[in-house]
Amino acid sequence: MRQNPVAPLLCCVLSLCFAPNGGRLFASPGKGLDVGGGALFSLTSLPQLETGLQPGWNANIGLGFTLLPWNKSKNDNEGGRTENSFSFIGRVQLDIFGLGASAPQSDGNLYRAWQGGGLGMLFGAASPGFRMPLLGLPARLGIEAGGGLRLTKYSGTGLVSAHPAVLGRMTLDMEIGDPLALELFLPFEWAWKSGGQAIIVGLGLSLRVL
Amino acid sequence: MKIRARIAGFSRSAGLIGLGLVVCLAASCSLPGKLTGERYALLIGISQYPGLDNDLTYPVADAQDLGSELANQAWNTLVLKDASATKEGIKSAIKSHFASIPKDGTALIYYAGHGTLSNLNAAAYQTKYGTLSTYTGDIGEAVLVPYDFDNSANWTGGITSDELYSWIKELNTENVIVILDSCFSGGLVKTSDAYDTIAAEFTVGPTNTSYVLPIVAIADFTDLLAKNAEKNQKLAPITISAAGSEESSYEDFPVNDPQYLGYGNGIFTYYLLESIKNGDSNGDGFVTCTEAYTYSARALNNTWNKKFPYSKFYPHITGGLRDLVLFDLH
Repeated sequence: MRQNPVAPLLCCVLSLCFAPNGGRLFASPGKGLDVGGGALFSLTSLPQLETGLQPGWNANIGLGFTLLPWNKSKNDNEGGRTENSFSFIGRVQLDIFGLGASAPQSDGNLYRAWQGGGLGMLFGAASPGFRMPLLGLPARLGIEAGGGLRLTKYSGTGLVSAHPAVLGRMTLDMEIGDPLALELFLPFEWAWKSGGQAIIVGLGLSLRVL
Repeated sequence: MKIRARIAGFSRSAGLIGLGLVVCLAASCSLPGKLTGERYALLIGISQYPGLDNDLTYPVADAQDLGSELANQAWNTLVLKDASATKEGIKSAIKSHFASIPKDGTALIYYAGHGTLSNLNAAAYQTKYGTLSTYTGDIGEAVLVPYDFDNSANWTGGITSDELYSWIKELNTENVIVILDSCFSGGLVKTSDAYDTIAAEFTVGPTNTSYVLPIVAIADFTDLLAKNAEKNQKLAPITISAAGSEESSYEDFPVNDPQYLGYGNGIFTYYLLESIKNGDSNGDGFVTCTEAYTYSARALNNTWNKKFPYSKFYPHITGGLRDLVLFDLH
């Protein structure tokens, strides 16, 4: 009998989607250490030149924390559990990243490749926990914004420079098992660099230890 | 059934839009544009100086070799050599050769010849670079040595970086590349918002290679942030120097000398020319200034500096975000 080779994989995905996961929702939004990385690209511009596109990558390690639950249940004051509600969150993160050179413009100008690292601090809010459709995993959404400082080196040269940046981050946390969460994040960075600007967006995945 | 069909349609559209976006992004990242700007190069080589004591072997060959490569890539080239490369000759050649360059054109000035330290602005120079324990001459601002150089006239015969860049400033274009293959040529490099972590006097060690980690510049972090905030109305030229501000740049022995090494050029220029073949690191058919610099600096360090550790030197490059195409291989 011929078998569809996709069938076993489909079975695994469906089992994961509909597996019972108890009644608990997201245990501790925002709290924990995460390590991750992803792909990004930068729309880089200097006032005298056309905007260029630079592909790149980033990796980061972050320490997330819950500042305070937005709402507390009556039980909370009595040592009970925190109500599943919006919460204020924050994080400190250490990034390393690299961006490739852009394609040359018609006049021969292009944007140099650079790599570097930086420290950032972000604050924001996380949604109440909910159960992911299909996957059935406890999850929550978060949005954070803040600032950071970057130290970068133009690739292949000895030229080092520093710049400030506005940072942003949207996250979807999925608790995949105690104490682990998988986090899908969309990083955003608006950097003022060398008289120009770089708007960096991307997509990444990180593993959070709750 | 209707809803499913609509979802399927939406998914297909979203998929197509997403695919299109990815294709567009990938295309704009990987496909090089076609260069349309006019390109002009002035190549200065001075091998024969007045008298016999100060002659060099290869600067004219360096200028001609680079000039013919650029001419093959549709650059409008002019080679200025030996007696025609006086200070006034160089100044007027910069003015006349680039007179008709359009705003989106690229200007390249290449110089091969002597460079020396003058006694000009000695205090400021020594504050910036320190003193040279092994060098017995004047320790001040670096100058290029044109054919008619006369150091008895208080160094006014040399070309200082202020003079060179004031001539360049008059050009109609901001797309300017300066390549200097001379001793102390790093001293003619204008500083930019970036900190050059390669030492003015190259020594073998982890802090003096182009692989250096940015972490060493943390001590200058606040200075770097201040420099980053400076506003520049014009784009600065990209300058590549063969050597640091406290280093000599070397050339091969003459062909008939038993010690001839097979370079047949100045050592830096040899590797710069080799970068046309080997320097296109991303394979897009363009060798940018940064790619040419990276290739020649690393090749020089891996060969010449290993073979002649007492005559080592390391090229430098300036600039910030902006790079320029140097060699178009299409």
